[in-house]
Amino acid sequence: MLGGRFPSIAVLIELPLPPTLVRSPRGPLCVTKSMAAMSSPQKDARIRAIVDEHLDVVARVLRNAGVSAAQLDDEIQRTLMTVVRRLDDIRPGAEKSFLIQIALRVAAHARRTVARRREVDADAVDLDGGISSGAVGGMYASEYDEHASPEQLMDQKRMREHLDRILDAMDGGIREVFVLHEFEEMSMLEIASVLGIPQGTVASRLRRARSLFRERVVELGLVDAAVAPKVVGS
Amino acid sequence: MTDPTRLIISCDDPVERAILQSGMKVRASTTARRQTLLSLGLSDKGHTGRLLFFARHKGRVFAAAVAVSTLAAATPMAYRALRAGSDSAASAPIEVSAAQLKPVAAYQAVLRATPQASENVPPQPDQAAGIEASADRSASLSLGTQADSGQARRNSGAESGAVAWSSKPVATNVLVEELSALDAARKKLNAGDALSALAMLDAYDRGFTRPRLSLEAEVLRIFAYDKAGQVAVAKKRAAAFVAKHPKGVLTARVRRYLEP
Repeated sequence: MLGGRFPSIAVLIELPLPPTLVRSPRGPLCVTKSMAAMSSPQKDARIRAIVDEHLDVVARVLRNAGVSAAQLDDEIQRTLMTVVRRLDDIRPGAEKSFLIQIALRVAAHARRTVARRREVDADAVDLDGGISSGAVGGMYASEYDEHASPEQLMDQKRMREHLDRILDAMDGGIREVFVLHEFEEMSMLEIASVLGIPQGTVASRLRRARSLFRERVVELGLVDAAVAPKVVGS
Repeated sequence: MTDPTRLIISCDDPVERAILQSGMKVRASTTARRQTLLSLGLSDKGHTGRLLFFARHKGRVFAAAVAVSTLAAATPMAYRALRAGSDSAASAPIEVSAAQLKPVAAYQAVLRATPQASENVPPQPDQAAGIEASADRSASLSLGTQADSGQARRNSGAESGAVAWSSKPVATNVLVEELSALDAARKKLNAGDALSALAMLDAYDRGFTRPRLSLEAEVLRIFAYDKAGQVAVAKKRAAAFVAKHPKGVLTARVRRYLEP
């Protein structure tokens, strides 16, 4: 159908998608490919189940793994597109692990892209202590309680900014282990399986991540060094 | 190899716990869900459901829409009829005293001072005094009709300069300014320069007429006093803080300072 005009759909699919996937000129191509791949109702049902059950997990992993609030919706789409492309490779029951793997790769790609372009994201935090003007406007709406008062919203926003600073100070591998254990409640065995690393490495990275977390909390002046509890290892 | 307890469970510091909780609150937005489904070639169930509901119950939906629009049209008419009756009964102008105008003048002063805060220019005390004086000068104001009221608003605006009636973007700027000011003070304090931190906190108090981060500023001030050697002042302020905000996010930290 598209062979005369485009050399390969697969090549096009691999290209970085534009921010507004659905409205973009390249969007319909992706949809066409997806629809072709999802010819059977069973596949449609499976994809819908994945979206319904795991979209929040994808959003959380992406956000905590370093995707900015401004880019989160696009990266969620990108992750799901990749998963759907490889739907046949996913063993039934292993969807969540697969989604997390893909989400971590997408987040790592997003972090590298930002670093390569040396651009500050719309809601990025200046590590020198100042906060960019986009920080307030760039908040991701669903990170905050709907019924919170302005003061509570302010507290939540500030806590999220602190968390971003702390996580940004961590190395990618350490950050991934920390995020999966602390926010996704995964065991070290599960983390080792998802990341494809030995369990001992997971344990040492987690210890290091916790230590860094406490150090950064003290550095940011949120907790006094004298009263900060010691990190208990595994 | 046993799994360690998650930090959010094992840590006893409420600030640390709040930071960790913020990482767990992320949810995919409705827009993300809809766009994702569309990009995967699937229909959004909610959207389709709404369309199906409309198709099945279009008669009832139409009747409800007619009822709502009729009500919307009738309400202003009824209001105007009532207003006409009351206007004829009370056509005499209402005299407003200077004392009644003072809160309005003060509110206008705050609105005028807010944009200045984004330029780090603290509002001068004589400005507020000037506003009060202008309120005194306009000892009475005729507010008999709606036109008169609008004229009065225009007059007060002309007297007090450009008034920012839409405060939302201004508030955002001020918030960023506040965060930056407190971050700068915190950096000074962490560097051991407590006196400079106190000076910056004083400037913060002067510069922001309606501070939204006053609690955080107060906690910083307590620790700045302590580091500056004014332990008695720090303890007194800390005790007052705990008494005033017994359940605040920052209270545990202050309480630990009082009871190490």
